[in-house]
Amino acid sequence: MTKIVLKGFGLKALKSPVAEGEALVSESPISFLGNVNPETGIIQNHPLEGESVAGRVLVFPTGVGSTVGTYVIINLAEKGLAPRAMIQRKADTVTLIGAVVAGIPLIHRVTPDPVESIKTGDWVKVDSSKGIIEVEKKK
Amino acid sequence: MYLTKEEEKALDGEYGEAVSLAMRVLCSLGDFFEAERLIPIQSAHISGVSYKTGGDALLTTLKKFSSLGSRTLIPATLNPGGVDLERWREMGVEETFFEKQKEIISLYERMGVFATCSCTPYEAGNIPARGAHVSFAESSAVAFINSYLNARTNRESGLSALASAITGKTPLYGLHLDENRLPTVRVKVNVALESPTHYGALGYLIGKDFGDAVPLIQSDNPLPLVEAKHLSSAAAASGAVALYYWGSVEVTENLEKIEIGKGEINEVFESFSLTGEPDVVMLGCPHYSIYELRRVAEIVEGKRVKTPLWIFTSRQVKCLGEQMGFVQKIERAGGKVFCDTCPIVAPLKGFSGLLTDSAKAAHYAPSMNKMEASLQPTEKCVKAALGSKQ
Repeated sequence: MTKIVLKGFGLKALKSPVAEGEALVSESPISFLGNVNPETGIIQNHPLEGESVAGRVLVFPTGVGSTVGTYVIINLAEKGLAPRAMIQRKADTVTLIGAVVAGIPLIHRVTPDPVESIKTGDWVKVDSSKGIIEVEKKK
Repeated sequence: MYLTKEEEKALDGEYGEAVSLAMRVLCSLGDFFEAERLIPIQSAHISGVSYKTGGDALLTTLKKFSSLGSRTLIPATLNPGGVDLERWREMGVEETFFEKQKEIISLYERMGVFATCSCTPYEAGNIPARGAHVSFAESSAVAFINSYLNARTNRESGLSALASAITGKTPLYGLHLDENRLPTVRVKVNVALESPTHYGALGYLIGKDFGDAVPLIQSDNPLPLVEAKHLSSAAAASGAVALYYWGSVEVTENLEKIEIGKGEINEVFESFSLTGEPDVVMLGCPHYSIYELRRVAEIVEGKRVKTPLWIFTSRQVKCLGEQMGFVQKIERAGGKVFCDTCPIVAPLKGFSGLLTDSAKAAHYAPSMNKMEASLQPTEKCVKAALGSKQ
């Protein structure tokens, strides 16, 4: 099994900065308001339509759209439907504040590019305090 | 992030638990984006009001801030909630929803937030001056005040804007700094934009193509307030545009350049389509200005709508519209003018096909309200509601 390590800048001061899970990679930006159903965690009106963010390590370029997306993330977390960790090419305030309040590890400014080097289905371990991402490739 | 002695005290709880919690939010934001320090801000605009979009997480968060004794230190206005606070029954909203909505708004009011319940705070007195540092949520208002007023804000989350309203500060990074306010792409507009909705279509394209870039939009078209509102809101909905420049200026830098012509604009209109006839016409995303209200009043005066016509605006604009008789003309024709809410964050029921003049409302209709949407300029929307072809 191939393993690669990516490095980035992570959210510190989380109670549990370490998380792991199956990657869900989006090449398109995500608007948490609108693109993620807050009741089910299922992605809608988006190229990843039908996929669930729950328990996944969500990899996406950045957050777009409404500034209320923060509360969608917190709602998901309270229902146990939030991603285990999030990796962004470039973080945005809406996603970041959601991660801070919900206690979700978040890493951005990652090299090599996470959206290209991680594939959906890869197993990803994240240490947000160190900014380290370990990827076990599916194939 | 560097903190002054006063800020350290605030973080440590010397000014109360509420300030300390707000400081923790701002410090995690500042640390993550490697802000050098906090800066004072003049005002804030807070999103996260509708119970539909914020849910119980919003109520829990607000109760926490409120129970700790939060008070705003600077003027702060509020985004739309999920209902017209006076005419919610006419919107088909359930009483349980209304109660939750009222609770959310009164929690904000107790903290000292002005319950403007509008996405156009710059039309309700929260008008940051050129160069002023502020903390605005509501993506359309962010793009508007950065671009049109040349004030400075990042695209705040509803919660970080609240934290800034309580502390009067925001981390110094992103669009507060000169070096991040330079154009990064060039958009050449080769078409006359006929209506505010055409500006919305242009914004929609730019947001889709460039995400969070800073576009320099080169155009010979003028950019009045209403048009700027539509452009800003669409670019911030399909993408995350928080700042753009507008004008016929030439730049020497070697920026990536795209050209937008009539074909591209038409494609945006064509990308929104209905399988049948619309069963509702909604206008006022962003909230209608007094000028737009008058235009609709002129078209419907003495006529009768055949398809429900719902118009959303701020309470301030509605008051003036009533004083000038515009609202009465619209309501006599069977239209409805609602306040405090909007086509996106209201829990709309019983409609499946939306006709709107707003690219932002059309964009969010399928995901937020399970409606198909069609996009047309205001005149065509209103005439369609009247059942006349032209």
